[in-house]
Amino acid sequence: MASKTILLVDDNLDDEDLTIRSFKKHNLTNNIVVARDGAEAIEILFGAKPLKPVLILLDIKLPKIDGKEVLKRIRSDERTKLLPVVILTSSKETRDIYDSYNLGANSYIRKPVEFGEFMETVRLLGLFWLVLNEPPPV
Amino acid sequence: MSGRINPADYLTIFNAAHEGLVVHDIPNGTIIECNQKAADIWGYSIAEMQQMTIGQLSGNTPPFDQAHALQMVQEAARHGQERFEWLAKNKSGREFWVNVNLNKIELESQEYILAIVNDITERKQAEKELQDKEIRFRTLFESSVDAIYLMAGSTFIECNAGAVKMFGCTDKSQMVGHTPVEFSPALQPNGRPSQEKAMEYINTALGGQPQRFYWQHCRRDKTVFDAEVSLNSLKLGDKLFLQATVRDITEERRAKEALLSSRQFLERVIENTPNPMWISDAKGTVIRLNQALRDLLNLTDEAIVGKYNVFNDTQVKEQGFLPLVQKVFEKGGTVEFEIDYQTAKETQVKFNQPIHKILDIMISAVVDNNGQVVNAIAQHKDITERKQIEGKLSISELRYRRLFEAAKDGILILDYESGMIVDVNPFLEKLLEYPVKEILGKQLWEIGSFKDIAASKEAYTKLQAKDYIRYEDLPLETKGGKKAEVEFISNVYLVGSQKVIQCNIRDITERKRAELLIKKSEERYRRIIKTASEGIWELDREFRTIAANDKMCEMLGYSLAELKGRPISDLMPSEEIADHKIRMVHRQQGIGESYEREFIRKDGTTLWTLISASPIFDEHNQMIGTFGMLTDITERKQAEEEIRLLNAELERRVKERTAQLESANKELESFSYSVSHDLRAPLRGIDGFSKILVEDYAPKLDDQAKDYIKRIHKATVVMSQLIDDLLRLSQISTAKVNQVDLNISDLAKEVADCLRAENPQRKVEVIITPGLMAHGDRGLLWIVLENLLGNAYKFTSTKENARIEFGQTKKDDKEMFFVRDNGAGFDMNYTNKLFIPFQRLHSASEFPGTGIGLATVKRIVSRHGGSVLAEGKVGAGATFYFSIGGDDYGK
Repeated sequence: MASKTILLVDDNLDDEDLTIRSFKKHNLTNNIVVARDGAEAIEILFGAKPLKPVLILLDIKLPKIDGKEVLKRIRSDERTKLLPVVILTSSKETRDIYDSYNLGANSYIRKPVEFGEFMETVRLLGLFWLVLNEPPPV
Repeated sequence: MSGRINPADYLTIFNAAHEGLVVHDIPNGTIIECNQKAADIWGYSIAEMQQMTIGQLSGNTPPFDQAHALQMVQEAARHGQERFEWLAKNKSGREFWVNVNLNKIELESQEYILAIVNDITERKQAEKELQDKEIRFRTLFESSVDAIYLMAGSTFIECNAGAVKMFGCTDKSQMVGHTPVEFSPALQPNGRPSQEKAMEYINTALGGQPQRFYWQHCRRDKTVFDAEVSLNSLKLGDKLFLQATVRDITEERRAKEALLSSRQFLERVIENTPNPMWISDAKGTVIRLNQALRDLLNLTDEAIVGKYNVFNDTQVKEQGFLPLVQKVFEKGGTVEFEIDYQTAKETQVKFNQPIHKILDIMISAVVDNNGQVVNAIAQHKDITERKQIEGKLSISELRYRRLFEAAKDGILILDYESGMIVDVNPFLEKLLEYPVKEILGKQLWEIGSFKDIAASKEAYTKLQAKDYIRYEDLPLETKGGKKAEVEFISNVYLVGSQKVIQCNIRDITERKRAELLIKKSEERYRRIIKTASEGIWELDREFRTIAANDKMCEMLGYSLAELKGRPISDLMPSEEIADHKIRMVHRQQGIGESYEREFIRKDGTTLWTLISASPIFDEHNQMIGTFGMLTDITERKQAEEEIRLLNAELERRVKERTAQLESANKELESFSYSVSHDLRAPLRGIDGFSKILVEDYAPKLDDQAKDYIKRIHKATVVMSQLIDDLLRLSQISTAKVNQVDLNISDLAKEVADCLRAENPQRKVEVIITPGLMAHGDRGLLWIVLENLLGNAYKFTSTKENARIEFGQTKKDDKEMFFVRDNGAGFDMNYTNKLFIPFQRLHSASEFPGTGIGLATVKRIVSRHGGSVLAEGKVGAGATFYFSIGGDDYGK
């Protein structure tokens, strides 16, 4: 289901696994494309065969190009400027929260450490953005 | 008489009293009783009064209104008595002033207020009038342009603005306490000392005779002005003062003098001139003559004024001068003629005695603005004697004779052979104070003045040999014993075939004295300049050195000889030249000024000076040079330079240190960031995968394995909390403290509400003293309270009736906030460990925690400049005290 693809940008394999597991467990069957760093995310979004995801889950601290820079590119490109972008990160620095919203993030969610909480968070996130929320017109 | 008044008579007294008497009850001020006088004051009948309250006796003018009147009654009831003045209102609605004395009295064991009232309307009016009058007088006093002042003895004690201005002061304090003599020149124009004369006037005035006199005053800057002063004694209380009015009459005097010069001056000139003269009208009739003419012709004004007309003078006619006179009267101008005049021949005038004189008469026309002759002046010169002498002497001789007689040098003519004095001129006669007859025919050394000079005879011999002799200064003594310095020149010449000696004697006493004075003063200045501690430097028009004193030479390291003729700019470093050129222009424009100037000493070192330079002018106002006084300020300059360098160095170091600090802060920030981000992620993995293990492989795991996994989970939770707390602790050290005034009680209540919401199962009594204020950062103080109240919550968890208190108290002489609980408490032996990170006094199983909370509290409190301390006892609760800012801040 290419039309309902989620782009997950995260360099931590454990977090990636936990996130995907949570989606599956809660019957969110979307296709999840993973980018391991900022450069890869940009390649996927703006490369030769650009991906059109319904949601981007974006970590901030990333190798090569960080999450804020990626967000900036997304918002400055006509094709992707309306895409829902959720920042999903371990940081709760005020600076990061401010910058993210300032650059146009739709939501900012801190990854809980505790497993149960983490699963619940991802479930609610998926439910909101993929089911309840009305996506922007294509 | 028993001395006691029959009670029945009190009523009589009450009614006969001259004061209005009114009895009021206390709660409402109702009038219970009053006397006739009171009724009269308000214009009511007694019966009417008894229906009224005290309020109704007042008008509505605040503060003298009805409500306030009742208050006064109640005040009097409290204090026993009240006295005041009140604006009352009578029956016809007119407001008037009364003096009220309220007294608490007891009648038949009931308390009342007795008001004793006087109508003081008249007194009030009189007071008001007096006040108005005083204001009027004060205004008069203050606004007068004349100086008005009061003196006690000879000292000013009060003065008006006019006085301050007139005496050139800027405010009263410069006059009060001073004396008029301080504002007078030392001497008055008549030569009397101001001090003496002033005391004379002051004492006479104090004696009761008002004085009015002319006085020369001076202003504070010592400039003198003419004044008219009047002094009056004034009795204030039992003390005697002087009131003085001073008027600046400089202008008046000037005007008077001007008038004098225009009329009287002319009159006086005419009257006093030694030239005999008359003045005629346009027709030639004499209207005025002067004393010299009266003397010359021995006549009176009556004999000539209005009677003599020059055109009718027979001798003028006879001797042919009439046309000349007519010309003057017709066309103006002046004529002069010599007339042989015999008063006996003149019929117009009655002379006292016949006089025959040869007169030189000069008649000049006086013309008005239109060129019309209005008067003529005739000046007479008696040339009778001259004419006689002229008859005897040749013109040339006469000329020399006149020279001889008019000379301002003493002249002696001696016979060459005998040394006999043959002639002496009037000046020498006067100089030596010997009459002519005592000199003529004598030899020079026989005259007292020359007698004591042994050299006189010898000098005469020398003169005979050399024909010329000159003495620069010869001390002589006059007949009267006065010392005179003279210059004596003798020379010999031939008159016809006879040799004569002429001695010219010039009085140089004054010149000598002046020379001596100049020499002395020059010597004084020379000494001052030579020994001055400042450099003194004199330059010519081209700014080349003319002179410099020792100090100047010493400062520069050059000798005067080396400096002379050298342009001053030679001694300056090149960067000073531009400014020097500007200063040269200033000097040429006649401007003097002070400024700093750098020179190079002979040894190449720098000399910094403070120069005060002024241009010098010659008598034609031409700038001929510059005079400068220079102070060596090299040391000061060096010190300034050192300070400047030190400051620059300090600034550089501060910058360096700031940069280091900034980079350290950056590092810390990035460290914190990594901690928050990177340390948490692995924990999530540990917890997540251990949970997945249980979820996916539960059947394969025994209870032991599941318990281990549970512990892994617990450990990750603690670790996560630790990371958060540590992060916060480190952020607090660098966070900005934004201090504001805030209600800390409200803050404590908010924190307590959160805690209650988080722990709904707990029943805790929280007591917060309301309204406590603090000056601190709201966010940081929240963390303090969250930790302290949180701890109190935590450590009372095992108590049945948990109680937590927040308040303020004095601890070690210092106001401190405190959080007290009745929880687990702690052993005071370990107090020092409480505030160190990671140090805990309880096991995690007993009370959970990371051991960072109190360390955070301590850090926040110290960032506010405060302190924190703890008291406790195991099992009996704990109290944590903290102060923020306050008197500790900035210490």
